[in-house]
Amino acid sequence: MAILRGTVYSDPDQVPALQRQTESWILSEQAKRQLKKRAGGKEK
Amino acid sequence: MAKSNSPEAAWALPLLHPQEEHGKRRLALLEAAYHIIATAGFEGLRTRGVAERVGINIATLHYYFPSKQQLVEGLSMLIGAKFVTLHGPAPAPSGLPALDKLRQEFADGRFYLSHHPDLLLVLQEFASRGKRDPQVQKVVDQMIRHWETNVEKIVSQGMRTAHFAQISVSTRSSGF
Repeated sequence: MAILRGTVYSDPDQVPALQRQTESWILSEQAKRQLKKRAGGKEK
Repeated sequence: MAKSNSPEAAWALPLLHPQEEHGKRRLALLEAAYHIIATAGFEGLRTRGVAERVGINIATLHYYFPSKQQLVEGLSMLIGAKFVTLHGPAPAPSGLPALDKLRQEFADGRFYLSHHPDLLLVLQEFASRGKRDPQVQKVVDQMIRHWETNVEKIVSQGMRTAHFAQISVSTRSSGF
């Protein structure tokens, strides 16, 4: 999606960090808890 | 190569996989123009060069695309069709549908970089040419609107399900 913005995907190394930042910015606290719980459940 | 059979991609299939001669030749012309832009930039795009590459005369090309603008508009459809049908590997389901769609967008970005860098090159050519050519900019604006609508849909879905924070309309797509 950031493709049309032109710069972000010109450097593939930036993508994981951008994805983390975006998720951290957009996810609600409830969703973050839900994801943590799910990740914890998988580890057990 | 990941390909989409989603309903959103249905419009693109007749364009990319035409059954009749007319559609096949139209696609060949668009692919030729696409290839020229990917290798020589917009500066290298001449309708005569496109016709030669497909092995037809210029008059026949004008039957399919009466003006260069119509060829450029056709190209934007081809680019759009490639974007809606080519996808990176689906990320592991998170349990949050909107987040999965968002992650798919990033997976697609990585996929285009590694497997279809030409797609990004052509897109960048459109964007830089658009700055000097209002007709091309019109096409770029349409592509951006389409992209923003898609982002809006994902964000709205995430907000409806309370998986995404409440974000004001003006910052939804610009935030990306």
